Amino acid sequence: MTAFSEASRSPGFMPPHVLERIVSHGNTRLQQCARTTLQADAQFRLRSAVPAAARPADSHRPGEPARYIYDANQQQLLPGDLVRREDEPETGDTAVDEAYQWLGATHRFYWQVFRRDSIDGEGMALLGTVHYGEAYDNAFWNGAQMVFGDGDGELFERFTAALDVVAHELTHGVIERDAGLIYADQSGALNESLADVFGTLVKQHHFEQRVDEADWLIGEGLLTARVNGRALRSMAEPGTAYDDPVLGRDPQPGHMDDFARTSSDNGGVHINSGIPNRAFYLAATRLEGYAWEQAGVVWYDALTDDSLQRDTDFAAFARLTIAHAGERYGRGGEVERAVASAWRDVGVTA
Amino acid sequence: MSSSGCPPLAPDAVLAVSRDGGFAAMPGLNRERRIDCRTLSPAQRQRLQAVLAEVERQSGQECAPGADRRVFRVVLLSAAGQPDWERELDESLTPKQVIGLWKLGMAALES
Repeated sequence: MTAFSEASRSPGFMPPHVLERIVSHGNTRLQQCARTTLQADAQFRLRSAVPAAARPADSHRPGEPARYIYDANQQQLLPGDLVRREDEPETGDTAVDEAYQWLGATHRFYWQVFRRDSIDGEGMALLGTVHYGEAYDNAFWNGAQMVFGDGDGELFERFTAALDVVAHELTHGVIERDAGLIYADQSGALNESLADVFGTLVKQHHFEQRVDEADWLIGEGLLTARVNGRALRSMAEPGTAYDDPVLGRDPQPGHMDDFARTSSDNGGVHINSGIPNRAFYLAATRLEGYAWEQAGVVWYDALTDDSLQRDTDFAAFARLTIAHAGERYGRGGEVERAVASAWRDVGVTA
Repeated sequence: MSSSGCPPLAPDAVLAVSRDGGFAAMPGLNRERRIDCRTLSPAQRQRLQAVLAEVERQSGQECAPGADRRVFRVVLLSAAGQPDWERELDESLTPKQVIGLWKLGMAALES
C-alpha cells in the first residue's frame, strides 16, 4: 500500500481533490454525501458506540454467521423488535424467515468463496429489519444494518422475496468497509454495480447456476404481475428489465456512449451502474462455468485492493480488474483477455 | 437561486416536490407533485410556508449514511418557472408533511 492510499483511507481524511470534484460537478447535498462516505469507517463505530449490553454479539465461530432479524411493525424506527436470532427456528413470518435465510446464504457465499467472515471479515453481526414502514417500496443499507420494506403489493412484492436483493444490501456493507466508494457519480455507480455483481453471484452460488443458466436479473420476483417487467435491472441487457406505464422504461445504459448525465439519484448511480454490470456479465460469460470462480474473484480482488480510490471512475476500476486478472491467472491469459475485452466492449477502455 | 433561508411563499409561486433514489430507482416513481399557490387560500399558504420552514431546518442535517437511501427534493419556482429555492432531504429526515404533499397534494395538510 502506498503512503497516499494509506492516507486516503484513514477515517475522516478527505483528499482535497475529491471534494473539489464533487463541488464542481455536484450540489451541496452530494458534497455532504461525499463527506459521509469518506467518514464511512465512523459508521462502523456505531457497533462499539452502542452499549455492549444493548449491542447484539458478533459471531465468535469463524465462518458461522450471527444473524439478528428485527420487525419494525410497519413503523420507520430502527432496529425494531428482535424476532429471530441465530439458531432459532422459523417464525412463520415469511419476511422474517426470508431475511434470515438469505443473509445466511450471503454469509456462506463470502465465506466459502473468499474466506471472508461477514461484512468486516471478523464475524460482524448481521442485522436485518423487515416490515419497515407502510407499503414501503425500498430496501437499503444504513451504515450499520439492512432494512427491507414490504412493498405496496400493487407494484412491488416484499423486498426480502429475492435473494439477490438481500445480498445486494449486505454487499453495500462490504463495499463501505473495504472501498468506501463515494456514493455519487461514477464511483457511486460502481458502488451500485458491485452490489449488483455480488448480489447476483450470491444467487448463482446458492442455486448452483452456471453462467448460461443464470438469469442475470436483479430483483427478479420483486415486481408484481401487474407490472410489465421481469426485474429491476438486467446485467446482460441493461435497459430491458421493464417497460411499464406506471414505472416507466428501464433507463440503464450498457455502453459509455449512452452514459446518463443527471443530478438526480446522486448522479444516476442506479442508472449508469448498467455499464459496469454489463462488463461483468460479458467477462463472466466469456469465461463460462461458474461466474464466482474466475470473474467474481477478479472483481473481488479489485474491490479489496488497497489502491482502489474512493472516487474511482469506471476506467480506473477496469484497469484494476485487468491487472488482477493478469496477476492471478497469468498475464496475457484467457481471463485477462476476457476482462479486458469486456471493458472495451462497453466503451470504458479503448 | 437562493442558497440560504426559505423565501416567503409568493401568491403566484409553484412548489415542486419529488422523490428519487432507492434500490428501486425507477423513472415512474420519480414523479413530481406541483402545487400552484394561486389555487391556495391565505390559510393554506401559511400552512405550506410552515412546512417549508421545517424543510429548511432539516436541510442542514448530515447526509444519511449507507446506500439505496431515498431523497426528497423540494423546489420553489417563481411564476416564470425559475427555481428560487431548492432543498434535498434524505427520506429519514423528511417531514411527514412533505411526504404527504408528494403523495396527496394539499389534502395532506388539511386536518
